[in-house]
Amino acid sequence: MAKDYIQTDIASVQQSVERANGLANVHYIDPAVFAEESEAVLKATWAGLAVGADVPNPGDAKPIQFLGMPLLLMRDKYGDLRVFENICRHRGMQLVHEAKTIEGAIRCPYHSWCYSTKGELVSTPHVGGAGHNTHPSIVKEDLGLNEVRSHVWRDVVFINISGAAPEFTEVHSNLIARWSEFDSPLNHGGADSCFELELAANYKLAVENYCESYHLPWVHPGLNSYSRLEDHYNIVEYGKFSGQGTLVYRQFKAEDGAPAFPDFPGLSEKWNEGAEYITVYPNVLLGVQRDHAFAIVLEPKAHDKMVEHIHLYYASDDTEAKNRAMNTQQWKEVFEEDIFVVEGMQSGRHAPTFDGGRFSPVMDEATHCYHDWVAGKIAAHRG
Amino acid sequence: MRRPIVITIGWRAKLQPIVAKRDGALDALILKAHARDDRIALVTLYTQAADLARDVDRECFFLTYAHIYALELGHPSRESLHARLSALGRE
Repeated sequence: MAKDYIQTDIASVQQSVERANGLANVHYIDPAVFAEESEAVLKATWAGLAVGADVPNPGDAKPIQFLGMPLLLMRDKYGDLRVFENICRHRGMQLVHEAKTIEGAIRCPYHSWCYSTKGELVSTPHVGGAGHNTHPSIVKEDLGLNEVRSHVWRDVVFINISGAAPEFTEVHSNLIARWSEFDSPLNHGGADSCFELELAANYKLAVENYCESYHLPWVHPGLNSYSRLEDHYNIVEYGKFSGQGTLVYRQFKAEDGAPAFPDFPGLSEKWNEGAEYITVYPNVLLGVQRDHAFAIVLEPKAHDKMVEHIHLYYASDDTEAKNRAMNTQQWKEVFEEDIFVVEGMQSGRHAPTFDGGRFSPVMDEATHCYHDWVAGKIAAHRG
Repeated sequence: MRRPIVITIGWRAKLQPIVAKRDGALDALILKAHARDDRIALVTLYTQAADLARDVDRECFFLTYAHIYALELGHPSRESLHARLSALGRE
């Protein structure tokens, strides 16, 4: 049965790239449509929430708001990572208000019900009256923290809010296989290797821009000297993922001209000068290169607001801080160059006669692939 | 002069304080530990209050506080406090 939402035209999106329009304006500027998309696209699939490096040590806990939901990213005492609803099962009080390390148990600040770092309810003080800490109607085994389905891949924490999506490894089997050579451990560079960018734009526009290389010579002229348009290729797997690759990647060099970072082990020759940049739909941008990788989790704050959480990773945990900082700065400049484009497209979506635009069949297929995927998820949601 | 330990429970505190007529110094120490959010000290002080309690209900009341703060902190005494409450049929 159709849901009670604005029935936007998605049929024109699900055409061949030669004939398709992009998603209509309302998918970028209307809060009601954003609400529908949140259900269809962000909650029904595996959306990026955070990275494991956000909670690096056993006991680390980080509260995160995702689409208005209070969530808790938690690494238990044995190192396993989980996502919970950040509320006490007693009266719904928010449990953790700021990132911290749980030394023993999570204690609700309201009536002090306590939970283990695995989410088990371990104590209910005075629940049966003063000094009586049990009651037959309060069964601890039934009242652990509500866990949100999660999966960690390439240190990105993906969540499936609906709980109904197929397994992550099934959904993304092609991509996992494609990048299997990069399965070696990732070392987050630490505080000098992450930053955030706040954008006044719908998160999908950052994906659309990331997927294609068409804009590179215009928006990132600094890349023209060695990374020309013709050195790139499209990566398009309809219904799955898309992005772009380059054939002329150069390792990041230290001041003395030598490679600054060691390569990931076991890479084939393809990756000597190859690198790929792929979106894990709906909101995670990944990049792999021989000497470092990155992950960008797009946090959808509203229909017209997002935060990009950018994290850089290395093959070794023993890299020079100076080199990492330089690399971070270089990427920051590139990603900042994209801001005016993404925000400009957001502004453009208020033009009433814009029909979602057209796609270059040669240069924009990766972007169309994403529109087509979003449209498919919305169609499935509408039933 | 001995003063009572007054542990308050919400709005009922002023009407029906739970009072253990023990060392006023301990009472003051507990209040000060709460004021500076010193939970390690609270584990010790509430355990002492339980030890001084004149009946099992008051003992378990104070033990519960000691146990909860110990649990939160991962304090070494959490297991012994839990065992003590369990032995009294309160866990």
